[in-house]
Amino acid sequence: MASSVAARTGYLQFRESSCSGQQLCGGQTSRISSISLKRCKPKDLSSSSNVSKILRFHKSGYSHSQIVKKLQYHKTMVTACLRDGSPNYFDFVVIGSGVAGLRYALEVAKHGTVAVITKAEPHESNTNYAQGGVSAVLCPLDSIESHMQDTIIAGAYLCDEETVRVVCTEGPDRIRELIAMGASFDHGEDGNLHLAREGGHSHHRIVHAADMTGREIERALLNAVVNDPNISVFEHHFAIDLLTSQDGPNTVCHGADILNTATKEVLRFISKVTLLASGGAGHIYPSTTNPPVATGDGIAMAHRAQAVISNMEFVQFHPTALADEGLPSGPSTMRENAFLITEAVRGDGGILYNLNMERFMPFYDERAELAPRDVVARSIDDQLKKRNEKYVLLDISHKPREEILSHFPNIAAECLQYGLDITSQPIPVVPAAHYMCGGVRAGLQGETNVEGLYVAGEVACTGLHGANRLASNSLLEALVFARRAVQPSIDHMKSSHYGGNAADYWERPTVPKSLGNNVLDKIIRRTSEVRKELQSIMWDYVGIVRSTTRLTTAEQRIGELELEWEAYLFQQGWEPTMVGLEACEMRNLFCCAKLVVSSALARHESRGLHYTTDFPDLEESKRIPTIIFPGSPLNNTWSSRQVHKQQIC
Amino acid sequence: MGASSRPKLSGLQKQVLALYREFLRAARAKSTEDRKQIELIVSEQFRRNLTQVDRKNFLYIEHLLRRGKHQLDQLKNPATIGLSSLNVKVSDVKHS
Repeated sequence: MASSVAARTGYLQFRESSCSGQQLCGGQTSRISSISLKRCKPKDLSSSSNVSKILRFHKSGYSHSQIVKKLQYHKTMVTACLRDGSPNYFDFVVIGSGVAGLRYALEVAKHGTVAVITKAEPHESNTNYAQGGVSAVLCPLDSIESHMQDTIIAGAYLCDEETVRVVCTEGPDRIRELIAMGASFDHGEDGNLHLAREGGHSHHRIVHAADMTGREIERALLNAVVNDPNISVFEHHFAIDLLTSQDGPNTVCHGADILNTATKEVLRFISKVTLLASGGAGHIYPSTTNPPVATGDGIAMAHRAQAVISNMEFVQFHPTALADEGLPSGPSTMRENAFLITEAVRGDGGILYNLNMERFMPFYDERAELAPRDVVARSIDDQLKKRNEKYVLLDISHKPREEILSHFPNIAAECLQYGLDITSQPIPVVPAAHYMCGGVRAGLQGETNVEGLYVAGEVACTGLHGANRLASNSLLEALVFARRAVQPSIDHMKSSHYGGNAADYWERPTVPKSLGNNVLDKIIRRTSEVRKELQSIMWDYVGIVRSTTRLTTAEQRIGELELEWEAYLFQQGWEPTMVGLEACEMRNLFCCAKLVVSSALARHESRGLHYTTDFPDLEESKRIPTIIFPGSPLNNTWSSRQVHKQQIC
Repeated sequence: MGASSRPKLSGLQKQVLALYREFLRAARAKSTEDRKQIELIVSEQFRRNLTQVDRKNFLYIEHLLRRGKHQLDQLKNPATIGLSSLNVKVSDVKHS
């Protein structure tokens, strides 16, 4: 397994070197540009082949990519079948369709073909659930230094100062670009953007669209992406593993193996540049605000591809997620993800009470409800443990009714569905896993230690958030880094070439058709049980308040659970090269869980989100990020090896 | 010059209007009588949804938008000559 070391920060050295490889043999591989995968049956096709296999070539406007030597280039409308086995060549492959992925895709589409791979519907992303807003210095009374200071203080001084400066400085321009792309944010009576306030910010600087900012941004970006002829969106396509090779001491990324979860086919995507924008891993915990797609796929794939991972111990628990137990008539089925009650409710004057209607925050922090999230989450957690209760109450009913309904229409509507009127009653809330501050270590241009692999968004650890994320900085980070990764990606794309039989270099993953439906059902059921068990281990032992013994117990139990699960799989006939959605998600969850536990064990202090009773204080000498280097290939589990590197005995 | 009395449209509202305009533009490419028929059906559908769908029901509106886009793509196909819709009325039949 990986060794975790706390190391000094340094800028990531990105070495420019083009892929050395044989030139493409002329004529054999045709590049597919601008494919649109249509769901409906086109009228002019007479063949009865599977709709998903039918692609339509569109007229390609231009190409800047360097495919050397002759190519069969289809410039007219041609219908062709996507044969199993033929790889798809794109200049850029983007994994994830949240704000980071889409923003990047829109920009690089001006320079080459782009494939956006998303494992469910494109709008299913963490971005869509972001409520509060995007923070940026847009008020003349505000300053970049103030935003920087708020960020660094919230991050418990673990932030990388250069990164913070870059993000705070470039933020306002990114927001203006979003507005130009069609995102409509709330404006105040004076006609300017309405800037809200949130916990941890010293100024009003949150740009928002009512209480569903993420949704509005996602809508605007998706609209632009759908209308862009150079971007092909592959929905219900799950990324299995990155395709990598060794070029001396460097690892190079050439694309990814993708599973079409609708047709259960494995596709190979070869690209010069890959952007990971796959989001976080909320589902390693039982209660999370993240949608079901957040299973840490990108972090796990990057780790297996020898990328450096950083700061995984800093898991942000949002202090106020709607507690279903406290609702008058709760939802009839278990929710897949908790409903978020945004920070802005506290920013607008919401007060926290325990079930005895005592206001407890002033006892924990002088900023009371406006303290940063980790303080609030720990306080609520403490109250819940002390009083042995399931939730606390957030009351905003003392504000005027019209104001509540106009600022938080979504929350009001959601609560009303279950019989709760937030204009007259307090809201039951409980902490839930919300955001991963850590992830794949990225430099200032979103570059990683793997050549050709860039990261942006929650999956990246850029050093902006440090030990705790300031509210509304996540959308900002995604926007800024997605934009910053564009130029280096284009430069890298222009200087690299496709190798000869590149696509055949790696072993092909297979689908478990041969196992039969009964066995597959058993495997899926068992995997679902194992997932729940992993989640409860994480919540009990790697939660808001930690200790060395609990963490070591977690490490041991997770290790045992993983071996047990893999043994079960292989017993049922699962081959190491087989892939399936549930199994791949499970191995990714295991990978992320282990990364979180090792990182937590490595930090011998309490800082920001990571609080451990064995080292309850801040240690100046430990004010360095936690780095996990890729592990050695020996003595590893199925989950920690890329599918195309499995040794078949 | 007084302030505009019309409230500012949200991004979602603009997207719906844009889709409506696209439908009308696509209809223009068809023959005159088909065009009238298409315009009739499209405006009737949009008007119906305007009154029946709650403006806060974002999930459903987004679903309608996606469905509308697929339908628009089909309409744009030169082989498609028109739209028609069925009104299915369910009668109350009492089973004795």
